[in-house]
Amino acid sequence: MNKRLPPFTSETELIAACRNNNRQAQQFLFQKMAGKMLSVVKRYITNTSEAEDTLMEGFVKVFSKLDQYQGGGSFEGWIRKIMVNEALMSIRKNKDRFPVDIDVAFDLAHPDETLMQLGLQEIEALIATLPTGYRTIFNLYAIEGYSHAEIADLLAISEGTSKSQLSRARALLQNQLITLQL
Amino acid sequence: MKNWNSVEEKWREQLQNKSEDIPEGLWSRLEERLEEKPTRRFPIYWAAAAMLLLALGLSWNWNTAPEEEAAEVTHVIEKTEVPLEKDETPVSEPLIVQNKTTESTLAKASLQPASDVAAPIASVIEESTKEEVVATVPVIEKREESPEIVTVRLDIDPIVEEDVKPTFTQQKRRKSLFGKIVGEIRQALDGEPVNWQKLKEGNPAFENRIHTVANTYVKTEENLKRTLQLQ
Repeated sequence: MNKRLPPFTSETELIAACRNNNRQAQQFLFQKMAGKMLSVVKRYITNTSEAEDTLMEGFVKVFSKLDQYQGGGSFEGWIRKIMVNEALMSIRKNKDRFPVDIDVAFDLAHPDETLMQLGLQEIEALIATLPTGYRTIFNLYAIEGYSHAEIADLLAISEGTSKSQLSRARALLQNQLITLQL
Repeated sequence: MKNWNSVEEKWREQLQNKSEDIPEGLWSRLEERLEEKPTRRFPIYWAAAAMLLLALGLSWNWNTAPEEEAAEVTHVIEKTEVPLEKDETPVSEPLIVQNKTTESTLAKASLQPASDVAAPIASVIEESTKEEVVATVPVIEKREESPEIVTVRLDIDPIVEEDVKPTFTQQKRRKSLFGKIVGEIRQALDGEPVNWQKLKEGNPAFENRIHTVANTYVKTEENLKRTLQLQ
């Protein structure tokens, strides 16, 4: 990681070099994106070593599927999607079940004002307290910005389940706020 | 009063650019992973190709193709030295590859009238031990168009088509499968549990036929019982 790498003047140039299997370019892209992507993965997988393995597998996919990137949207957004998918696959592999179908939505009161005042680390700590199923849906909807239809498709659940699980996650977050005394 | 959407929007903004420290050695591990990737993929393609070939082979083996029957007839022609009995006109003959020395003799024989043809053809077949029958496809195709071609086959090969037996492996395979089915049915009649899935394994075509075979067996057994009772 201490090796000095040749700078790539543009993202297009970097992508082209990575497509040609240029190791230096790949290392440059890894160094540029890995930190952010590890943060994404860790929101889904709390175990550090598992998160790092998932990040690695995610980058293997990024490099092998780089030809599929058309350049239409943000490159970082494209990598982020791969990482999220990889994290979901890892959760499935480890037999952490996604929520079962429950279509009863919670009537949730307005969020506590304190939630708006939380710092970065506190937000992460609070989200990390959620059980895997709730955390996954909360992350997908609230942080990544997926719609309920997209979540339903990704996790093979109904849209109703996605909505109800989000309500439960929000309720739990509010409860945890009191428990953790944030 | 704030709602959840505004809370989540704020959280999203904060978390969007969050970056973690990457542990030492992670790139090296990834590099190793990138190096080994092509070598691991290669056998998967080969395995897939092998599976496909196996599946095709099994389905081909199971269904008795008309080409197989034709090949069997060809085999009989190669070996036959039986004197010809009928004197019907040969219209076409099997495609024969042979030495130049015997070629002219055969050409002559095929052009001769019906009554004179039987003996020369027989003698040609007897003397040309090196000849190979390449295909009998033209014979089969012409047979469908005119009944005369059927007589040619009878001229060359006195064995009736019903007598042409399937190859040894095919016969053996069917027998063993049938034996298994009979065994399973007997087990079922005795009230013991039967694993039908085991029988279907590796035989997709068999899945559709298993019930037909089972019904045939049961009906045959019922018929036999009825016949015995009548006697």
